[in-house]
Amino acid sequence: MSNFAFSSLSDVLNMDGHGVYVWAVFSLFLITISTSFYIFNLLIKKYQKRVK
Amino acid sequence: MNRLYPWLLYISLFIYLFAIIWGLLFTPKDFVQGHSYRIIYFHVPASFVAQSLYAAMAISSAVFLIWRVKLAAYLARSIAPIGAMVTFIALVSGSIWGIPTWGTWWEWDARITSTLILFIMYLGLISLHNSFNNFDKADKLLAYLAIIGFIQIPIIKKSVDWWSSLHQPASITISDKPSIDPSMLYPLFMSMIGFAGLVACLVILSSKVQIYIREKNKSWVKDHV
Repeated sequence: MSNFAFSSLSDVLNMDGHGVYVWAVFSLFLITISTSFYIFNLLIKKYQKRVK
Repeated sequence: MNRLYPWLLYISLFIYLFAIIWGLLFTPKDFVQGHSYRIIYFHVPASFVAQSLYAAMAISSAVFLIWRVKLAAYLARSIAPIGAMVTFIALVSGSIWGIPTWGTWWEWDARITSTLILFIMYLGLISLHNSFNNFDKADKLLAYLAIIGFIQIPIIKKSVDWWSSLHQPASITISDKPSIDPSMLYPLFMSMIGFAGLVACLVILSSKVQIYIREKNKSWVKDHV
């Protein structure tokens, strides 16, 4: 593994002006994947109740 | 499957988080693209999995049509919404990456347009299946169309070679040495493996939903629940 690529937390967030794009994609990923898991678990519970 | 699921989920989550932290914070800045290249750790796994899911859907459709395995039809139907979601991530992450790299969020370029068609195909297959009350007919039609639509996958793959494109050629190919530096490549491989594992978990959950919908009156499902 290489060295830490940034010198401060604000550097990590800013990424030389590209942070807005990188963190927007990160947020999109996080929201979409976690929502999908949540929805499918909810659907499973719903249909399990119907089967019972 | 119930025993396998938590293992697959936690191992995939660990691999993916490790890869993301490595890729976002510990890989060097790209000489040409600067830090925006870090979107690769989201965009490439999503694009790779979106196409792989379609291939998996076409294979399970073929298994259903040839050997009449009902579970294969359930699997094909289960893959469609996950495929649509992953293709959506690939399209949106690519568009966001396009702003700092190409100066535009959208271009009617061969790779982007063919990926958009893949997204529409996933949505079309879901809508088509939902429009039938008879599951047998819906499964057969979905299977035939999924197999016919498979032609789209090599077109997406080769689009950057066949047509002049804003999209860069593939950085990783089977025949050639990767054009990407190893310090960036290893976390990329890890992110692809971790993301594929997470998506496999979603397919397992989606398949469970299909089984509960279709087999709700069967005794083995009641016993299982």
